[in-house]
Amino acid sequence: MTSQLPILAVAPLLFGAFAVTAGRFFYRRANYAVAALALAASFSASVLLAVSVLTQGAQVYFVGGWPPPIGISYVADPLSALMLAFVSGAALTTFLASKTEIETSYPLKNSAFYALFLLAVAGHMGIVITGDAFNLYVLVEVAALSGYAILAQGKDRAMLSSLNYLFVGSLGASLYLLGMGYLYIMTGSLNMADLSAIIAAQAPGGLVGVTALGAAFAVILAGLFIKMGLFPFHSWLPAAYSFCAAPAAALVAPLTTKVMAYVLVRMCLSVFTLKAAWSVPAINSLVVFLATAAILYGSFCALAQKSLRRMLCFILLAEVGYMAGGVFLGNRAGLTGTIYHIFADLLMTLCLFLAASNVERATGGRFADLGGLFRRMPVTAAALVMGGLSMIGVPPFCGFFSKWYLLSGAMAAGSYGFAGALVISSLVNAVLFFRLFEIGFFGRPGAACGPDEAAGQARPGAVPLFCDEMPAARLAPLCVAAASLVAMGLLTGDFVRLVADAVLPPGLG
Amino acid sequence: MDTAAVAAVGFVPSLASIAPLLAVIAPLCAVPGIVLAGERSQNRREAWTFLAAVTSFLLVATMLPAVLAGSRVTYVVADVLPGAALAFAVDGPGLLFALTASFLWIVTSIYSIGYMRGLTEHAQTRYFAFFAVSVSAALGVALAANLFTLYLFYELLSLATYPLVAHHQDAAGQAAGRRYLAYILGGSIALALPAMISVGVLSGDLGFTPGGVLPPGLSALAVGLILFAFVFGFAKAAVMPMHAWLPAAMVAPTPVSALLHAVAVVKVGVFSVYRVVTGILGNEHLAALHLGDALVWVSVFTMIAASLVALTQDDLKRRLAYSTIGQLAYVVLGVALLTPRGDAGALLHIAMHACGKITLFYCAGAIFVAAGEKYVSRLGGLGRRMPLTFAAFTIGALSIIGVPPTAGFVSKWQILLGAAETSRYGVVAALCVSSLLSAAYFLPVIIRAFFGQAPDDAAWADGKGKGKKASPVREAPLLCVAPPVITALCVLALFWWPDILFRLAGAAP
Repeated sequence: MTSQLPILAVAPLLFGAFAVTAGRFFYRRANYAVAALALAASFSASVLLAVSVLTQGAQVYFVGGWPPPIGISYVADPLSALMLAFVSGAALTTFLASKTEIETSYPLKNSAFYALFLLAVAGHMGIVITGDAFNLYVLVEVAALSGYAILAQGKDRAMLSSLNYLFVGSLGASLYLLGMGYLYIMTGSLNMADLSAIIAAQAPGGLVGVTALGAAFAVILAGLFIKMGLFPFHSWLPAAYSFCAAPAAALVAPLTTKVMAYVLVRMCLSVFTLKAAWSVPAINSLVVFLATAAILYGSFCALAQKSLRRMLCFILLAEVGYMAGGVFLGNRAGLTGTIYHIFADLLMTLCLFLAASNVERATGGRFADLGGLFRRMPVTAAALVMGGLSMIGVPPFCGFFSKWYLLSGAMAAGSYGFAGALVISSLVNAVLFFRLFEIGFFGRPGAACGPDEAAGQARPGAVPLFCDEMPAARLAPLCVAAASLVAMGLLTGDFVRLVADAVLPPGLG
Repeated sequence: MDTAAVAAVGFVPSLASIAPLLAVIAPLCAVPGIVLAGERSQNRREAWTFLAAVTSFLLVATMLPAVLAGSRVTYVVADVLPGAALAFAVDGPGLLFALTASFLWIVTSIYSIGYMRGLTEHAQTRYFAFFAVSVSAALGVALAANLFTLYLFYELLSLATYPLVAHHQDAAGQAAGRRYLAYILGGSIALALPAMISVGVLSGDLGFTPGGVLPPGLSALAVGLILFAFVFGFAKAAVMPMHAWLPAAMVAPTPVSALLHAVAVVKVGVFSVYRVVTGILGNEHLAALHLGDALVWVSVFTMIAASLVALTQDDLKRRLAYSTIGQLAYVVLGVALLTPRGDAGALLHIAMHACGKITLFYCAGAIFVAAGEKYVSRLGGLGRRMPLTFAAFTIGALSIIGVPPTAGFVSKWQILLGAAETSRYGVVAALCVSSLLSAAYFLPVIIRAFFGQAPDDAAWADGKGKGKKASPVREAPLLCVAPPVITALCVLALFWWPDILFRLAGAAP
């Protein structure tokens, strides 16, 4: 069914970016409202699209009216439609929560930040919705270039880190382009549906097992892994996300890795088809091995960090391992786990980075300064606890259910190394977060709070309640993000039925 | 289930009712009331606790007629995972445990007021709020319909008790909290969760089914690994070597030790073991693989070793804690016999030991409030000053030893009979030795309290106490003394009228 909604989900962001850029020369004060309006419009369109796709089936929009395979099509199936809603929802939540933070972090350039923010979201939304493999590359660059720019504005080594990210990220995008070149030479098409039909066609026309196809797949995988930050291509990620200003991290961290994981799933399901994607056992076992290494590396490096946001960055590396590994376990449970975890991790990262941004504003974010956190910022601390419990994998938070499916998949596939890494990562997360909670619960608050003479010696219980808490405008989006972790967990059954089962081929064991 | 399967397990009529959900939710509903009332209006805050406790008990009790009539009360909350909804199913054993926990919560609420106000503890609002959450979680475990729901509430209980264990927010609380989490959370994530997921992968069903859900034909090694991953993973059962958290957790305020570490938390552990053995792995299945014997010997070892350690403890609460570890092993032993009588004995012991041990903890707390003493060696003569408290203590101790006419005798006798019926005469001997050992660690306390000489009595007799007032130690406040007297009377009553408990446990008296 053709429909206007797929483009309506992306277009407001593009126009919003231009409007904000132009607006800074006319009426700068309206810029925040314009940007928020664009995000809200995009979110509403995405939600409408998701509802209509889930109730009535997939919808297509032909850009410029050109039918595929010549033209670009925007395809909304249950997976991409819901992903759009999550991406735009996360962006809107971050934007609403970060108003004051943006104004203090970018005092003179906030209009530029708004424009780049909208462009980055538009890029990510486009990546999700596009049904054209080359258009996907273009949108990856749109998302990445605006991402480099907003990540570069920060303290200390932000600019250097972003430059590093630019070099590595461009390499990743180039590898993707190279792989697409292979595919284009073999098939003469760039439309995803067309590509998968040609690849999966029965012999002699089919390409499954052809060496060139394997090479294309391997090159594309390498590109995606670099963009996802999968170990050992991860080194850009912690630096890029930890020196930038908090709103940029809270926007990019939930989006980029998850959207690239989505592209990985999309490539395997809708371009190469699972038959071709899983046809080389060496690739399967190598990716699961890398994913295991990523989980262990991310978890143990997180243990060594001394500030909240850096710890979260390394946990993110471990989560990337979850998503990459699940795809290549070779069974339904593993893929379901990856698809579920893309959504669940988006929400968890959103909640944790927003909470971290509040904590940083009040305390600086170093562990040593978090004493008395539960009394100083009860709401933020509660959100931090919920995000942490979800990361540990406590039901009914959504993190538990992704672990459930991934572990089921790993056990069914006999990948006990991957299963072990998942369990170890849960345990390490428990250590990481409860270490944080211990400081917040037992620690003496710093001088920032309470009467001067009591600072440093006060009983943890004597700190005045709410003394460092953020205003309600920052807390409300955070609470929504935290509540969504429980909602997502309780809706797991529906999610798997409506989204994962709808896109996975029937009969997959 | 097809008709043949129904005929095989015996048809149990189901009665859909929201009562189980309400019983679990009722304590949670009190939390906002407790928090909003706060320290300023303590009486209003405690009124919420009472309201929730009584409501919850009544809701549990409303299910009694239906369950005694032989049907199961069921309620499905959400279809979260295939084969494992978030659902409640109330049968005799679950109701037995739920009745015990919710009734004793009412008594403990009275006691909490006397104890916490008597010692002017800090953060009482937090204490009462998390207490309510803990009871809700314990009820959830009791009424759970399947392993997933049980695990959810098990984890909720682990997390909700952490702030109670660490209540004092000092170094001792921190160390105890750390050990508590390491055992409880570590066990459930590293052992119980993988075991649960392997059951899910092997059988696709996590509902508690008589005869178990595992497919036939598994090796003894595989089933044994799963069994012991559950037994040790449910570290709340405190089967050695997973017991060390329990003595450490005694730093908590005494009402916590009483309700949670003699009744709710530890009984949740052994009840989970009961559910897994009877409902997931299956008695016949385990008996055919000769795995019952292994579990019998693990529990016999725990029983004897814990009693021996209890002999050496001078701290009264720690002595009680080791006694609890030994008594929990009775429950595991009863379950490990894999016979109906063993199961019934185990379930009865959950209730009988709960009444006895909670009395002892109440007394230990009352002694601490009245006299400030917590060491056995310093209790000399206190029995004459606090006759009611020590009378209750004596009854509780006799119940733990297993002397008629106290409740402990009833359940121990069933376990003993169960062991004799399966010709395990070594186990019968071990049970007798364990009873002797518990006499050896309890009787000296009683004898010293009633017949020993108080230090200041001696001073008084020598004339050195002249000019000083006679020892000011009197009975603790009424709210601290009434609860142990009530539960001591229950201990006596349950010996004469255990019929309902027998019917719930599924055995003839």
